[in-house]
Amino acid sequence: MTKKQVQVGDRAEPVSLVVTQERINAYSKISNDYNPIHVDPEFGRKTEFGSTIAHGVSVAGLMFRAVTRLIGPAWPYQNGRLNMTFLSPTRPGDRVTATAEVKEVREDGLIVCEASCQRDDGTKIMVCQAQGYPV
Amino acid sequence: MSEPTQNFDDLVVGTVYPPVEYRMTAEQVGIWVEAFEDDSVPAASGGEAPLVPAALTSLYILDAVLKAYPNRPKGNVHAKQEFVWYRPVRVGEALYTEVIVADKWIKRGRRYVQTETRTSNAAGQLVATGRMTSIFAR
Repeated sequence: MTKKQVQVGDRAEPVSLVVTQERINAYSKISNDYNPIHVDPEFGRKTEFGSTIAHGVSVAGLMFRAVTRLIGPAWPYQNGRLNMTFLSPTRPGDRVTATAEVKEVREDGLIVCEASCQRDDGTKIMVCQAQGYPV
Repeated sequence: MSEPTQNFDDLVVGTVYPPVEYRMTAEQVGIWVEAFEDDSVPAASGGEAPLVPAALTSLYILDAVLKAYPNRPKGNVHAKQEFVWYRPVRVGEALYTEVIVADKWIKRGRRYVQTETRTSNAAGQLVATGRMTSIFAR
């Protein structure tokens, strides 16, 4: 079976998830990051965010999945690189969707993608550039 | 005697914290896959331990950073993160992450701290590097 040829402009099927306090708590459990901004609703209400917010890196998992759909399941493991910026927090109840697009395919086969996550209201919450070899 | 604070003014650029050991468990991967519906994880094969999803790189990096900054202010925000991977990580594998205070600056009234991490395996091979930009609450 031949590998699908990736081309500039290829887009991954979007990946969506609803952020919930349960998911935030699950990430706190596996990361041991119990910063009250994530897990304490009372603390969160008093901050500029008005509520708890999700760990940015947990929501970024959606971008990882979108990029994986383009490059392949093992793309990070051979000199893969990802650079992300968190633009806006996500709160419990937000539905977020990640999309990714191939921006460049280099001569040696390296694939460069751009991905982003946005809320249903169109607000972009994070962006990244990712690169890796299809494996 | 109270612990010294690690607010923005207390951090010294260039400080290198000793490596922190970490082993990812199958339970952690399982919680992640279920809670976040991650379908991107390569399947285990050939009797080897399963690969750790790259999305969980932040677990061993954050663990080391949180241990380097145990007295950090509450309410810090993670603004940016870069990862570079050099080799895969498997469940149960021993990892050692070094944390470096790389830079700090104030911009538009916000206190930015850049923290770099270097993670190696038990053989001393570089596994991943990270660069984390945080906004410190104090």
